[in-house]
Amino acid sequence: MKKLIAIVEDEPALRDNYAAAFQRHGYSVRTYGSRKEAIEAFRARLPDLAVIDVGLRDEPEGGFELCRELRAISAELPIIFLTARDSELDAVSGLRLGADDYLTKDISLTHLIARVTALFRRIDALTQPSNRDQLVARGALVIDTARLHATWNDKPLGLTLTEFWIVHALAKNPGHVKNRQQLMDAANVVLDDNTITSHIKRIRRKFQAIDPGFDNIETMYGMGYRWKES
Amino acid sequence: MSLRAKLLLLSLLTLLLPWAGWRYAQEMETTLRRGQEASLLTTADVLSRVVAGEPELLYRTRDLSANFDPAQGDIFAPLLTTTPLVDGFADEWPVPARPVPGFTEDNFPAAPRVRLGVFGRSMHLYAEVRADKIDYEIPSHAEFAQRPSSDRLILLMRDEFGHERAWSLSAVAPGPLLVRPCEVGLPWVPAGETVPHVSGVWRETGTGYAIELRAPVNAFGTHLALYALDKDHRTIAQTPSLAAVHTGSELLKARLQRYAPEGTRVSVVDTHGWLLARAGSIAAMPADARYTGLQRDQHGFARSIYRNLFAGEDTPAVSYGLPYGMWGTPVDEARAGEERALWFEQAAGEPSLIRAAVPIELEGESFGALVVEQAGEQLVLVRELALTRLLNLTLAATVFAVLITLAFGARLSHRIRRLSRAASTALTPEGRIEAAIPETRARDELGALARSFGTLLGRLKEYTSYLQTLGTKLSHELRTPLTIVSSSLDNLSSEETLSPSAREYLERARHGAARMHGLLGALSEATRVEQSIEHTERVRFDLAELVRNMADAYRQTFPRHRIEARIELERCQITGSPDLIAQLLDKLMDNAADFAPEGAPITIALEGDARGCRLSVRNEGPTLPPGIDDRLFESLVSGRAGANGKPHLGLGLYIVRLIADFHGGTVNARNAPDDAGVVVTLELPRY
Repeated sequence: MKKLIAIVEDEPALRDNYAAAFQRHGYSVRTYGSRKEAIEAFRARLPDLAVIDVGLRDEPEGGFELCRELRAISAELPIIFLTARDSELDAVSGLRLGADDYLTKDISLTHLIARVTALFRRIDALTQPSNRDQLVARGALVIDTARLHATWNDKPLGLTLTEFWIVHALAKNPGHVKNRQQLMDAANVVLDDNTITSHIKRIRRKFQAIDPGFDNIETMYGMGYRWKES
Repeated sequence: MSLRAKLLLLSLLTLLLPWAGWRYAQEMETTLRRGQEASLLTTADVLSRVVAGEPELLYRTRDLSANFDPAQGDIFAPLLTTTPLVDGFADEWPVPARPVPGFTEDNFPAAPRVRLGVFGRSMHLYAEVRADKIDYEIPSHAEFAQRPSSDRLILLMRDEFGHERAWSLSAVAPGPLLVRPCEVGLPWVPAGETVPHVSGVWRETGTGYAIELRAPVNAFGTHLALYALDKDHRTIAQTPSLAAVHTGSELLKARLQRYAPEGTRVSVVDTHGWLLARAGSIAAMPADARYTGLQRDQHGFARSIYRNLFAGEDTPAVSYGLPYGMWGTPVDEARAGEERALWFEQAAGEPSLIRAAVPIELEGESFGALVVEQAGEQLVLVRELALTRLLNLTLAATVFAVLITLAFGARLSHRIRRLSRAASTALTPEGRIEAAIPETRARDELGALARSFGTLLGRLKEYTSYLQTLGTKLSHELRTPLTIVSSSLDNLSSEETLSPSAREYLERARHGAARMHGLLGALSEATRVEQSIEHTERVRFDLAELVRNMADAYRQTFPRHRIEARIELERCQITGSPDLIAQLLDKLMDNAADFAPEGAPITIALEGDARGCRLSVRNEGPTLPPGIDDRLFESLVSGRAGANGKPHLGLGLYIVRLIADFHGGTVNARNAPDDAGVVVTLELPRY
């Protein structure tokens, strides 16, 4: 069965372009021009993934509002923000609302498709039987790749999927410097440098919420990041 | 000239105040003076009429007024103020302060010197005679008095009826005088008895002898002559003629005393200025009691200053030649028939006074003059005190006004300077507008000015920030249509039926769209950095290590250039954001790599001391255009001569500056010392 992707975008030309691209890659697509229209349709039937623009016609923050309502309906539905806004603040707000990704409209259609494909693959991984090396333990850190779950000192870290794969990529080979591209590849995402920095910052903060003395993720300026054994 | 100095000058105008006060006081005083003069003249006039009614009080004989002439030996007998001791010495006889005719000059050196004076009902006489040898009477030969054999002085007197009498004066030794009547004419045979009510003293002097004598006034006649005889009845000295004797009048004095108002002194002089009578007193003014606390020594010091500052119009005191007569203004004018009143300065023994003189006239004939004197001291005192108070007050007011004006001026100029300073520094060297205009709440014109400044700067700031955010807005607004273009192109490229030439055009279009995306990203990058700065936490980190790592990384990133790192410091701990510093270095390196020719070295240097550290990136290549200096670090300013394919919006160095500001540092770009390139230096404080 074809995956259903919902596109909420107020610009018809853009909406149709995205729809055409997704359809070409074998997805079925529904498009909505406003928040009201979208949420009514979502109440009737949930899509497999939602791509939402932040600014919706006369609602500058309509996308955020829609995300909040959607999360109330379903906690698991993958949501991607696709927006002309590129400030870090907006990205943080979007991700805090439970979005799985925050992309600016600079992104090419190819990258957008790749991103969506990666997201579906990750969801598929949740339902598949676990791999042999399900558990990775690095000191206080335990990573369960089967359940995409990580704990520090036996306390759950609550990482998003992107964050989870970044931590996984770093912790798998302690001491190895992973540059930004490698981290993006590991997480199956296409992000710019600043977004990687923000992700690392948020990951550190999540660790520090459990253990204030946490400093195992080391920044190698100009090169990337590495996991330092404590 | 500063505003303060102008105001000070202006406030000096208040000095007019004491001047005006002084003028006013003077006017007042003049009026008062004229009034007092007029009243005194009136008094004098009335008194002169009283005196004119009784001319016999002035002259014992009528021809005295016309013919009296001391130059011919005539003698004036003034009224004496004290009774002289009859002792043969002339010490207590008055000596006039000015030359008096017949007294001071010696017209007849050989004649006996004679002085006459009236005190009460007595006539006093003093005479000096030159004699080589003095022979005294021998008391045992008293019975031979009719044939005297001693030195004698003969007084020949004639009364108004032409009767002549003579007295013979002799002594048995220096001491009491023997006064005997004698026959008129040589040999002046004296009678045996002595004249009653006459007493006198004979005294020897170095050059001869002197006699002093007191006799009843009416025993004296109107004319007098003296003959000095030796023991052989030879005349050794004599007065030049039978001299007229003119005397002051006790009767007139008594009359004046009765009529003179309290506090005044009245004098009467004859046509020649001889003082006939003087009565009354100018001392003991009752005014002193009226003006309590009005003391001469009150405010003495200040008054003495003011007295010198504003010299009065008083006439200097005149020495008249009292008690013989009064010669000088205004008495002389009065004798000539002219009324006159004058103010006199205080002089030795006399207070300052006003003196009014009027002629004494009867039926058009002038008898002399009458002088009324009154103390002017009271008025002077009042004037000086009033003036002193006035001047003190106005001076204090002036000083106060000057001080207030000065303070006001200082405050005003301080406010203006503050405003102008604020206006001149509103535009920071970095090109930002920090409008902190003071005084905007003041309600005066300066406040209005400050408010207009504030409004102006506010608008300028809005405009500037509009310019600065223009990039962000533009990129935001352009992004959606550009995305439509690029997504359409993406979709188009997946069409399989495209001809090769169409595919080529498509690729060009996509390349152009990608460049536009890049441009839009660069435009909004500054805003993104500003936003991320707001949310950045400061940490302690080692700048030296960071720069070392970055330099290593750049060697891979910029393989076409030679990256040299000169890091003098082992460690360099600073507070800030390592991410931002890395971003800053990225920008500087991008710039340097764009300018430096291929294969040329790019030097990253870090040096520092205890207070701060200096991070610099130096590249070879074209130098900075002159005059651009620190404007390089403003938004949308680019010093680049030519593009090498990459978009240059002049935002890179602006981001550098934003990050430098965040770290409390400064950044500047200079040509290298040998003009071989450009050095951008970041100075960071080490706290």
